[in-house]
Amino acid sequence: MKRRPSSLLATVLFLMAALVYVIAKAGSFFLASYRTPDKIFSFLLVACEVFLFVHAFGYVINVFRVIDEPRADPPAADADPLGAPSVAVLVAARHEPEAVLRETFSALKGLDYPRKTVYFLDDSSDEKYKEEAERLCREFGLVLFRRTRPRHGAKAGIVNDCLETLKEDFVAIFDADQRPISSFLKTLVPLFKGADRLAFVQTPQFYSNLNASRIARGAAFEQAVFYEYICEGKNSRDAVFSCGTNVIFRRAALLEVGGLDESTITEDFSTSYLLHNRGWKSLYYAHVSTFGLGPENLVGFFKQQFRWAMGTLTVFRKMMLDIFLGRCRLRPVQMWEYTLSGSYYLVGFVYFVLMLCPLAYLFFRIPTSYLPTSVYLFAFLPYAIFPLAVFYVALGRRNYRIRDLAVGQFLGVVAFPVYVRAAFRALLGLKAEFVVTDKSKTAALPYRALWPQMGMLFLNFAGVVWAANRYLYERQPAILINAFWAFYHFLLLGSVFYFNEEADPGARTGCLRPRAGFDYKILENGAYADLDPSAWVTRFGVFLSGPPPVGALLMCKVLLKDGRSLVFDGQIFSHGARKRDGRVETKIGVVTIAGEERRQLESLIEP
Amino acid sequence: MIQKEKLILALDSLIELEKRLAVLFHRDMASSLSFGGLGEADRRKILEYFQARAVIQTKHANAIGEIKKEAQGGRSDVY
Repeated sequence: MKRRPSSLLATVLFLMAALVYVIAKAGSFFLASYRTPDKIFSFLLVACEVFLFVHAFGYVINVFRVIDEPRADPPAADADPLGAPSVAVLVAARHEPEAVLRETFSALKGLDYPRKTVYFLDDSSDEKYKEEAERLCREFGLVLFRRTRPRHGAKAGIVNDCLETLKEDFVAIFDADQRPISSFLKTLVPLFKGADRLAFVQTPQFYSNLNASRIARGAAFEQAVFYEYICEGKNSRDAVFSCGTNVIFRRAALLEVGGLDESTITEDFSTSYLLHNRGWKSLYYAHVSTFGLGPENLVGFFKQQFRWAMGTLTVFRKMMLDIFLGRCRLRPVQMWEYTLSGSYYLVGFVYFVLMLCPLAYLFFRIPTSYLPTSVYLFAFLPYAIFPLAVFYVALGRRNYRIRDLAVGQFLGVVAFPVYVRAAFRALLGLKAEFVVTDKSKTAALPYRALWPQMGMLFLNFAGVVWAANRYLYERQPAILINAFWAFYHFLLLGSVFYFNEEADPGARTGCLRPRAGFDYKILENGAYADLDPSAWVTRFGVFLSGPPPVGALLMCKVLLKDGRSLVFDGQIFSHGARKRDGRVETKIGVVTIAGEERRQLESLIEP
Repeated sequence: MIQKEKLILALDSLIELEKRLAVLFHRDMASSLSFGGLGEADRRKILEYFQARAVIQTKHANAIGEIKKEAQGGRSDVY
């Protein structure tokens, strides 16, 4: 592949800028004669900056690698479906809401592939959920699988138990809230043809509930950053790892490594490492082929991030040990990519130290940087701006807006205590239970539960105030620089108030005001003979206690405040489930076309 | 040619596809518009198109339901 001079030039420029800064910092660290506590803080800061440099460099070279290698068009669906290999589609779940499973099963039933069998791996222990699973499997024609041995290894365990009974050539794995498009298998299975050492094909995750809450939106864009250039870059080095869902494995490859690795809580990452270590290959198919649900509140997001952080760091520790003992067979470029992915979640420590250093200077006069202010600015600014510019410009080329990307980044910073806790547990080798990402709870967290974020927020605020006081008397530019960082961290952490909200799946649709009663019945026949799409504009949401009649035409009745009622035809265009006071409520989005009634209805809808 | 039993199963799948999957797919596609770099007017236009499609698909589902009723009630076993 011929590399464009602009890409090379940019990479070299970044390296130069970073090296100037790191050398200046490291040099001043060794040359300056300061007290031991000062040196400790300074060393921590240099270590964090080296970490950031390594990860920023990894990101930048992946971006340029991808830019130089344009994305290939999706391959055409297999022209010879009769010769298609058999595929087992596995969905594992434990106590998932019925509404979520229904959507997933609908999508799986709609998979357009001649030789597929869909298995529902029900790991529920509650009788209610077990009965639900049996009923749904009958309704959708799925094969119900339950453990035959005592419970072991959470999701990986039940998948492995099932794997022993399978005969199919390939195994597609989906989480219970992931809905593949109908062409998923038809497009992806042919990618294995002629590639005997290809172990798995991974596709992106896409959170389609991104408008349900600010968390969902932030998580969706944080995910998007990973699945855009990062995964594509890893793919070009045969180092992309499985994300546990939306993936097709070659069964023989899985069996060779003993199934999914049950020793960690991120069995996907660990199994990928085992496969690559044995010389198997992987492929990333960079087109969204599955729609799913992301966490909608801080509790769900923190649980998900904790699991990912602890799991990947555990594998990272294992990989380092393998390298040390000479058991790691990865190629150097794969090792580099795995090191980046495995160590990424140490970023919690990094955020923490970066927040601590300005405070140490402002409150205790502990200098963490021995550079003169002018040298600091000259060396730091190009180094800091370059990767940020690459990040926003590269994603801007793919139509991502700065505001959305920033929301994703802010969310990552707010999760820093979760990453720190996960890193401690992983590096000390402590066990953690597998926790399913929660998509149903919508309540905000009490702020006392966010004490690390709130504590740092307060300290940074106090730091800015104290800095103003000190600057009045001391007039040192270093105070201003540290005050700037304290203020910056204060703003980042302040986003916790933005994210910690009550999620409402209909926030962008508008809801009927609580006083407006709602009733409906399903219409037998289509009622829209002369439909004008441009008039189809009134959209609102309402909560029901039963399962939704998706796609149905409705005869709706809304009770007005003055006692009159309004009757109109509507149709459900969306639905989602949430848990409230222990009950599952279904939120349906309704659209209506009714003329005069529509205007009356709009007056009842909260924006 | 297709046997009655298989025809009814195929019609069931079609009804499922039209009634449930189309709506799900429209919702997912609508959410993906946030990533497309489209302006508000274009987004709105596409959403309206999805909604119109949803109505058409409901009609399809109803029509297929009628065919299924006919097949279920009919004497013929091969169609």
